[in-house]
Amino acid sequence: MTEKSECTLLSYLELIAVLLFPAVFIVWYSFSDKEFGKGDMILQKADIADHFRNNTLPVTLVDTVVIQEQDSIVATADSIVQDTLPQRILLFGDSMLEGIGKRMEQYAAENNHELLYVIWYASSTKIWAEHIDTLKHFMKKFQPTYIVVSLGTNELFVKEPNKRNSFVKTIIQTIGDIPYVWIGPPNWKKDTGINQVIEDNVETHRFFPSQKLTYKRGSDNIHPTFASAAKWTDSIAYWMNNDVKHRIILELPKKNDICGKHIYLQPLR
Amino acid sequence: MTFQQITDGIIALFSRQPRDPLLFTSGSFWLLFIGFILIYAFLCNRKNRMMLYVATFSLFFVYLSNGLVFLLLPVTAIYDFFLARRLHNCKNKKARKAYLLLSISLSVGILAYFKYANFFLKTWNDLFAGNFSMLDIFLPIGISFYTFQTISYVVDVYREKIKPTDSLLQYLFYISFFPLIFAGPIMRAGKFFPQITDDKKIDKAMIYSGLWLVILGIAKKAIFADYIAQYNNWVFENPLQYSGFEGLMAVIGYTAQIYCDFSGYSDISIGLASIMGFDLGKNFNFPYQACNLSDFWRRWHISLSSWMRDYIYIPLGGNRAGKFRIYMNNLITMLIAGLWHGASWMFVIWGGLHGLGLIIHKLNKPWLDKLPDTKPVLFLSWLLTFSFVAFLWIFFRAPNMAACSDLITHIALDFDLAYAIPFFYARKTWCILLALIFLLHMIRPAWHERIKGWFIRSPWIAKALLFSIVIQLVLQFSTGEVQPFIYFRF
Repeated sequence: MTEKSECTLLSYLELIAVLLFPAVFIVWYSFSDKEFGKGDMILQKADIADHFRNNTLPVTLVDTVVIQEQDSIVATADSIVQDTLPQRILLFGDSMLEGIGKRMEQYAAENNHELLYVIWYASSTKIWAEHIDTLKHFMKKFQPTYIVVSLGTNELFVKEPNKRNSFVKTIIQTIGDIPYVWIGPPNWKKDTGINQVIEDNVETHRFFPSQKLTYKRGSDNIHPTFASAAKWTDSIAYWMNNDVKHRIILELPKKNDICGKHIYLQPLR
Repeated sequence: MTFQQITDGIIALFSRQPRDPLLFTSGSFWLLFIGFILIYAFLCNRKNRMMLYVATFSLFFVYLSNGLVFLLLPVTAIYDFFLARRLHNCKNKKARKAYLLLSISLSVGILAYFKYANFFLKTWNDLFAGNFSMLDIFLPIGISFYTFQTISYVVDVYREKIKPTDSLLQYLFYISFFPLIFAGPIMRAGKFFPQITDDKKIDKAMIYSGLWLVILGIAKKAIFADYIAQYNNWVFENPLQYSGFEGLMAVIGYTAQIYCDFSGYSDISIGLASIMGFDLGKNFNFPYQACNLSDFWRRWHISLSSWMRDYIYIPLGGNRAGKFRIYMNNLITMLIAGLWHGASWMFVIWGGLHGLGLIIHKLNKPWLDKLPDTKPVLFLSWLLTFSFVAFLWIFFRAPNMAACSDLITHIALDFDLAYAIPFFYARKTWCILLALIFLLHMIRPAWHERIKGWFIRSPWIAKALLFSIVIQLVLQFSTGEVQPFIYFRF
C-alpha cells in the first residue's frame, strides 16, 4: 500500500469512527428500556428497534368490504338509539384525523350534519387530559351533539400504558352525557397496551378497534394514505350507522361536496 | 432476540416502497452509508473498481425508490454514451445534428412521458372537453436531474467543449452518482470527468469539509425546514381560516422553508460527494441577500440557472439579439424553468412572473445602475427583491389559483399587526426557528469558512459529539409528520 492510499484509508477510518459514535448510541438507546430526560423533556428514540420487534398483529386483518358482509369486528350495543336528526359532530384528536376528517367532511355534507374537527398534532390522551380546557373550550364553542375521539397513535409504545387510564377517564368525564365514539389508533406495529386501556375505559360498543384493519401507509409508513384513510372512515361511518349504541345517519357520500371546519393545534414543545 | 428476528429487522430497516425515497436524513441511509464508506475507503484509489462499486451502489439506491423503473437510468446512459461517441466521430454536419436531435428527443421524450403526459391530457380534457383517461404512471425520482445531465453532456460533445468518454462505466458512474441523483446539483461532465481521472489525494480537509456540509444540511432540512413546514402547510391548505397576519407569516415561513429544504439537500449532496473526494461546487450562495432579481438567480440553484442559461437562453439567441428578443428569451427560459419544476400551471405562472420580473429589471437597469451604493439604496433594493421573491413563492406553493388568490386577498384585506404578539406567544418555537434561519442566512461567507475551519481542525471526538447532537435534535423535532424533500418532486 502506498503512503498516499494509507493516509486516505486512515482518514476514512477516522471518519467511520465519527459516524459510528452517534450511530452506536442511537441504536443502543433505541433498544434500551431506559429513557433519558428531565420532566417533560425526554430524549426521543429512533425507531430502529421497532424493525426488530415482533410486529405481527394478533388479529385477522379485514377490510371495509368484509366488515359490511360478515359479522362485525366490533361489538354491537344491546339497546339502540337510532338518531335520524342532523348532528353537530365534533372530531378531535391527533394527526390521524387528517385522513378521517377529509372523508368525514363528505359524510357531513351528504347527511346534513355540521362538522368541526380539531387536530392537535403529536397529541395524546395525556396532552388532552392535562389541557382539558382545550376540549371544554371547543365543546362550549361548538355545542356538539355527537363527539368522535381519535387518540392513541402517539402512545402506542409507551412503557407504562396503565398510567394512561386516568387521562382517558378525564376525557370521557369531560365529554359527559354527549354521545361519543372513540376511534382506536391504526397500529402499524403491536402496541404496548394503549388500545386495551382505551377499550377498558370506553364502553366496548363505543370503541372502534382500528388496529384490526389493513392500511396503505404514506411515505412515513405511519399515517394511512388519504385513499386508505377514506376506506377507514367508511368502515367507521358504517359502524356508527349500524352498530353503535347511539346511531346517527351516515350514508355513503354520493358526491364530492364537503362541509366542515377544521382547527389545527401546534404540537406542544 | 432470535436470528430470524435480526434478519427480518435488517430487511425491514432497508426495504423501501417504490416512490418512497431513502432520504439522506433517515437513519437507514446513514447506517447504509457507514457500510458503503468502509468499502469505498479501500477502493477509492483504484479507479475502475471504485466506479463499478459506486455505480452499483447508486443503482441499488435508485432501485430502492423507483423499483424496476430504475432500469431507465442505465438504458439512458447506454444510448447517450453511444450517440455521443457517434456524434463525435462523425464529420458530416447534418449527421452530427441528427445524432444530437435524436439524443435530446429520446431524453426529453422519456421525461415528457413520465412527467408531463397526464398534465397534457388533463389540460386537453379541460380545454376541449375531452375524455382521455389519465395514465397510470409515476414520476421516477431523479429523472429531471439526470436527464438534464445527459442533455448537457451530449450538447457539450456536439459543441466540442468536451471529448466523449471512452468508458461506458465512467458515463454510468457520472449519470447515476448517488449524491446527485435525486435533487442535483446538476453536474456538468466537463467538471466531473477530470475529477475521476485525476490522480488526486483525498485528504482529511476534504472529508471533513464534506461532513461539515452534511451536518449543516441535515440541520437545515430536518430541524428547520420540517418544523416550520407544519404551520405553513396548514395555512396554504386553508388560507381563509387564518388572519392576514398569519397568512403573511406563512408566506415568509415558506420562503425560509424552501431555502432550508433545498439548500439543505444540496449541502448534504455536496458534502457526501466531498467525503468521496469530489468537488461539486456551490449550488446556493446566500440567495436572500440578493439586491436584484438577476442577482437572485445567480445565487439560487446555481447549477439549474447556469444550465438554463447555457442550454436554453443562449441557444435562443441570448443577449446577442435585439432588445425585444432578449426579453422574450428571458421569458421563454423562465417559463421552461417553471415547467421543469413540475407538471402544473402554477409552476408555469411562477416561472413566467419571474421572467417578467427579470425583464422589468433589465428595462430599468440603465438608471438603476446610476444609483449610488449607499446603505438605504441597498436596503430598499434588497427589500424589494426579497418581497418580490417571497410573493412569487405563493404561486409556487399554492395548490391552485383559487387558493393563491384567497391567500393574497386575505393578506391584503385582513391584515392587522395586533395579531403579532399573540402569534409569537402561540408559536414561539416557530418564530425563533424562523428568526434563526434569517440570522444564519445573513452570516458573512468569510465567517462561515472560519467556522468550517474550526470544525475541520477539531479532534474527532468533538466532531462526533456535534454530529450526535444534530442527530438527536432531528429526533427531538420530528413529529411523525415527515416532509419529503420539496425538490424530490421535480
